[in-house]
Amino acid sequence: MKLKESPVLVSIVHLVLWPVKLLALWIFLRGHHLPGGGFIAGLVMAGAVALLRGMAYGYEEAVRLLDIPFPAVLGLGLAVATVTVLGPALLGHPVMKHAFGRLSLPLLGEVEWATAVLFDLGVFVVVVGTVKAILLQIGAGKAREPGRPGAGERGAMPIRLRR
Amino acid sequence: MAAALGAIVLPFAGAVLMPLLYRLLGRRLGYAALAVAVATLALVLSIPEGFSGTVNWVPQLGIALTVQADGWGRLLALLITGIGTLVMLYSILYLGAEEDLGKFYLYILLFMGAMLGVVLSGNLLVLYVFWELTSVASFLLIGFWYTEESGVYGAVKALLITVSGGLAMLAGITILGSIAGTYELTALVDRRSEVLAHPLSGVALVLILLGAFTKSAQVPFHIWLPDAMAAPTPVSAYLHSATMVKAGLFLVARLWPLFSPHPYWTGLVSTVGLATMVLGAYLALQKTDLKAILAMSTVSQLGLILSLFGYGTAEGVAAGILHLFNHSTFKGLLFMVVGIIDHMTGTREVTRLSGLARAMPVTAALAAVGAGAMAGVPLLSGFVSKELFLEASLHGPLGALAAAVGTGASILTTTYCLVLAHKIFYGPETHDTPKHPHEAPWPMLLPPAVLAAVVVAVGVYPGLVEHGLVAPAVAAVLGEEPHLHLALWHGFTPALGMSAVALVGGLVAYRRLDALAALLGRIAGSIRLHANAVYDYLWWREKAVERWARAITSYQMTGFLRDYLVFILGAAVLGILTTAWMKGLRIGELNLAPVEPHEWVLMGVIAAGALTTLLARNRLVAIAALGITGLPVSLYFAWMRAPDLALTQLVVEVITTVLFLLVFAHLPQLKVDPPTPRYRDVNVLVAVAVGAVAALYTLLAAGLRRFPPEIARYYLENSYEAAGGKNVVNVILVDFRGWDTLFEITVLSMAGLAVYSLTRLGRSREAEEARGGESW
Repeated sequence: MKLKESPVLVSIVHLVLWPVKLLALWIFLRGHHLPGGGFIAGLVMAGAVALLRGMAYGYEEAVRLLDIPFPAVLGLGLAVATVTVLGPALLGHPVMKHAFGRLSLPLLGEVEWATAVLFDLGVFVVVVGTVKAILLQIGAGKAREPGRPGAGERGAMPIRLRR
Repeated sequence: MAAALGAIVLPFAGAVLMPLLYRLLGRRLGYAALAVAVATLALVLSIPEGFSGTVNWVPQLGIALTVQADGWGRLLALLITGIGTLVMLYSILYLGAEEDLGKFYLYILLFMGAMLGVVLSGNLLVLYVFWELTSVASFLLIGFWYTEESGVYGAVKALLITVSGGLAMLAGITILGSIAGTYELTALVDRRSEVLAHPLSGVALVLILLGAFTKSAQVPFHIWLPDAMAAPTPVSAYLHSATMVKAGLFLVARLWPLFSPHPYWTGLVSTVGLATMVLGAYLALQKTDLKAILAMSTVSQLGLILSLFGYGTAEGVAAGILHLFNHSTFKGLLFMVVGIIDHMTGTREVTRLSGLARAMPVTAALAAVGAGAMAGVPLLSGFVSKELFLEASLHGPLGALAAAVGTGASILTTTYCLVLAHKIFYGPETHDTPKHPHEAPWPMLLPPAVLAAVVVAVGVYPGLVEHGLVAPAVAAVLGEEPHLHLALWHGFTPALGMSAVALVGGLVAYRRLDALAALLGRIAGSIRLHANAVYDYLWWREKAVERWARAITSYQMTGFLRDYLVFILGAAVLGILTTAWMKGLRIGELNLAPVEPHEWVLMGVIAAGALTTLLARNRLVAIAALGITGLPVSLYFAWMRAPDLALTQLVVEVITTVLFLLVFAHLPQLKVDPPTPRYRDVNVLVAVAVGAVAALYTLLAAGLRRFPPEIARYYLENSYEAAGGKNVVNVILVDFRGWDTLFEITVLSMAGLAVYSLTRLGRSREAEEARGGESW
């Protein structure tokens, strides 16, 4: 991947990265009433960010830049979702009970809130973590061994049971 | 309940703690294990007699943790904990500080818990679980010295044979359970006539007996027991003579009330038992390793007890139970003695050991007690039970034949007992041993001395164990109060005569030992088929089973994705078509959904994309074409007014295509070999079949509209009122069906973790290869 040597590409990615993240956030937030939601937003976020970064810096570098432990991200997402599910039980409600309502905030005016969004946030984080992990790991894993035989060739190797 | 459950749980808990305690206590760990054993013994003693209780475990499958501590279970539990305590004490001195004591006591306590589980369980399925656990513990203990080949061989052999039998037993138990509708032992006995009348009861019986026979080393499965002697001697004394090998006998007696009237019962149980008794005694005389002699004599004695349970008479049961108790004590004693000899002289070869009595007088006395009891010398415990054995054999269904076989085997038994007690200790003194022999320290002599005291006490005054131990056990098996009269002197009975013949005959044979050995050698030379050779062919040297398994596996696990797809898709198509055919679906009568013109167009695009993917000569083209097949699907969703689905499909499609492209850059040039006709035909067949079936069922499902519209209406009506969201799809995902989503993201996380760790693993291995390290 020679792409990381292109300053034009790096600049464009810098320019586009935050709008893309905002787009993902928008898709996430509108999900309650309009098409969108945590799953799609997570896909957009992870896919776009991983690809843009990968294109700009090369995947090896992108993985380094994104030096967060994927297992921890996945754990965080699952924890948020699980807490949202089990939380109501601690307050004496049925498990998975969601609450919603309207709230007046300064500047923003009347805002709707819903605990379901928290659960969706967990979904979002898990999807982001998984997809990023897959894209970046596979991208980086392949990118660093251009001279070596590819997985496609090795795939045809019959399984041998160890004696 | 607390005492009974505690007795099962405590050894397990202790076992888990052993490796931790090992760090604290070091070589004094044995005392901790001893404490666990003593506490368990106390718990067993405090179980009320005849206690039974139930804790539900998996009520849907009829599995309950039923504790059935009747006399029979309690007798075994007492043996397990009592001898276990002595073995722990003995092992403290036996095992050197260089051994991995943490593991040793972990395994042996694991065994203790599992074995208690077997004998106290009142549910056959629970019993089976503990049963297999004892096999695992035995495997670990036999292979304790796993750097020795003999240890590995013995461990694998014991495990394969006992677990194979165990699996047969599980099948038998399942059949039995489906006949009677219960796995509870007491309920099974209540439904005896129903069970016995069922045509499959014979199959169940044979399968269960296979489990019992393999566990108790009956012919032809006896071959694992001698090789199990690779274990440290305390293990041999505990598992492979006193307790675990009794599990099969225990089960046979447990099922006695249920199965003893079965027509196969005597034919199977007594015949196998008597054959084993003779063969074991014969083989014992051929061995020169002391532990091998004891192993074969254990085989023989187990056969003796088994034959007694097979007679189907109350007399037989009583004799069997008493002899089981006696055998556990005197054989445990003999193993401990052999361990001492091994420890003090450095060898177990009979040919090198002689005249040790002067150096080891106490050991000599202990050996005399143990061997005397086994031979049936009066005033020792074995005499009483052997009398009962001969008498019960004579009165049993096999009559004089069984008594004659028993007497014959007893002559051989007496002969090798004399080898153990006389030749080694009172033969001409030699100085051929690797170590200069001297008497063992008293803590090592204490456990066998305790057992010897029991042997003598029971021999002199059999009533000692009659009322507290043996009679309740016999009563539990028979289901009625037995008429026991254990005594030294029964008058001049045929049994007394046979006992005398056995003792005198053995003495004569011992005098002519060389001639006897020559005779036995000639017999051995004429035998062509050896069970050991069969085992070695199947599992060890030729590894035939492994080869067959590999042949089958490599037939289906080819490593080619295409083959897997053919298997999976072919099975799916066949399964669906078979179901449809059996349910009587006829194509002509189907109410298929109509296909709109725009749907035809979309399908045309998808088909074109798929065809392009197939025919592409260039991988990039193939990937792009594959992407094309996905996009119309998303358009289709949009048309069906499912914007969420459309959006998701779009994003997924883009990411998948990109993922392909990522990998693409590093794949070799696409090679399109001209496929062989058969290869192509199968591909076409599977592809067309899958396409046709999928299309048919999609149209069918859409046309049927079986799904009640109330479901959709419920979601539409309630999503805003109850959940506050206007996007019904999303509300379903996060609220109505939130559990699904929670588990879906869990699965997603697992997939992510798998990819993450796999790619990391691959990379660290590559790094290792790059450093020139060995990769595996």
